[in-house]
Amino acid sequence: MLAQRLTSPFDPAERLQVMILNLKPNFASGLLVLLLLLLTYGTNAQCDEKRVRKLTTTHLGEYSYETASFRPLSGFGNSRSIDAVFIAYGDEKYRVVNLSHGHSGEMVFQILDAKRNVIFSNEKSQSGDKHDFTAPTSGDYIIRFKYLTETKDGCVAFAIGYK
Amino acid sequence: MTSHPFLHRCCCWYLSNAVYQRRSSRAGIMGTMLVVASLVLGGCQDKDDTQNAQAGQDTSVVSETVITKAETQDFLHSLPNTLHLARMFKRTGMPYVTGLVHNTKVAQSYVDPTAQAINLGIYSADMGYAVLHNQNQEALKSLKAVKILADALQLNVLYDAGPWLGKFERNLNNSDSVLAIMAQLQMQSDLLLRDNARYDVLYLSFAGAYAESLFLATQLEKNHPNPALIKRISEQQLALGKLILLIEGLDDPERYMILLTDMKAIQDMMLKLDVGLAEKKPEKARQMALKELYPKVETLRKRLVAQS
Repeated sequence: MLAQRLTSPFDPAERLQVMILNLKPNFASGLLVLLLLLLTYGTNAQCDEKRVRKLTTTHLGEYSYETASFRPLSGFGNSRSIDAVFIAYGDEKYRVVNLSHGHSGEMVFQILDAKRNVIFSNEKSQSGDKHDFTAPTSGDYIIRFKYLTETKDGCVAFAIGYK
Repeated sequence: MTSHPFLHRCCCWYLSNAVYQRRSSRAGIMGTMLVVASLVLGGCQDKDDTQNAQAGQDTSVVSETVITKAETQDFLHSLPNTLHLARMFKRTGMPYVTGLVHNTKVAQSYVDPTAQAINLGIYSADMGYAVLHNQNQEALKSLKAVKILADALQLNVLYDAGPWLGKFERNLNNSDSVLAIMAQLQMQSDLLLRDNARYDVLYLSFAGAYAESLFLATQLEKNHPNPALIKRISEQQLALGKLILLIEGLDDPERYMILLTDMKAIQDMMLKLDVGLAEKKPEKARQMALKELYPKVETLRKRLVAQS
């Protein structure tokens, strides 16, 4: 087996490549790759349709599906605050749930009404990341995700149900 | 799915080296198999990168994940659920009138993908309208038309409508079950279309369902005056504004210029109607709607169901 040298000491990908090449052909390299597989799978599993569908079904409960959305948090760049707008119709009953997962930092989840008043914040809530309400008026409501610490990992996701 | 670029790069490199050096040890074979599995799960090329390259869209490049403008817009602006719209219209006392829904016999005649996606939405709205009024045989016909168009759009790659059809038929006599099945189907198709970045199908089918819901409501209001329904119709300018924004954010929005022009004209009329209702002159607002908005909705629907 060829012993490899680093061409760039600062490239972690290259470091790992060289490490694998320098290993003897035993199960260690297999295990290393298994670790890679698990890490890759873990990253992929965080923000996909299957996971979000399962979470949506569980958390909406008796509410019918209105909509749901999900994106990797890193896709929003350095934004510490993400506002997703949804339409609520007057006198209709809604459930909004935060389905974000897999991030390491602290996050505040809020819902703002059509007049930009905060009608829900998970900081003060006993019900966790879920809010049931009847919309007083029709308009654009906002789901706000505020990240208090710098984090780019994980999935930002929500679901809305109606009754 | 979005694979981590660093791990992804390592996997691709490992695979190419393993093949090059013809490793024969157990560890090498095992490692290669694992990496192959990893690449199958994550894809050797990052999906988002591929989409960006194909679509040539504006991108927000940040740290390790690249998401397109369309993906960002989709997250930031949610459209309402058309089955929910149908329910709200029904709660105002909107009746069921036979012969108003789109002819299911022409479903196979749509060959253009844009027309297929739009009419898939139209038949979905008809299905919801029928189910909500316990017209389940009519709903079944619409579902079969939906399946024809879903197959034509090759959505069966994403989800198979066949089992849903079976579930629907088995529950025909129970409207609550049928509604629950419809909601599940809608959730699955919504999320899968998002996961696969098929925003064109997502928004065009919404446009079809939205136009059909509006068409049914305006036709029925015209013959059965209903102030509560007029109020709900005027509120639809909110959804229309979002839909226009999202379609304009698609790749090559010029393709949908006629649809966008029609929708913008309807949005203007709805805003006027909303203002008219705020002045507490419902009769005046109704007259204005009958004169301006309703014929425009009728023209749009006629254009959408026409076979090109």
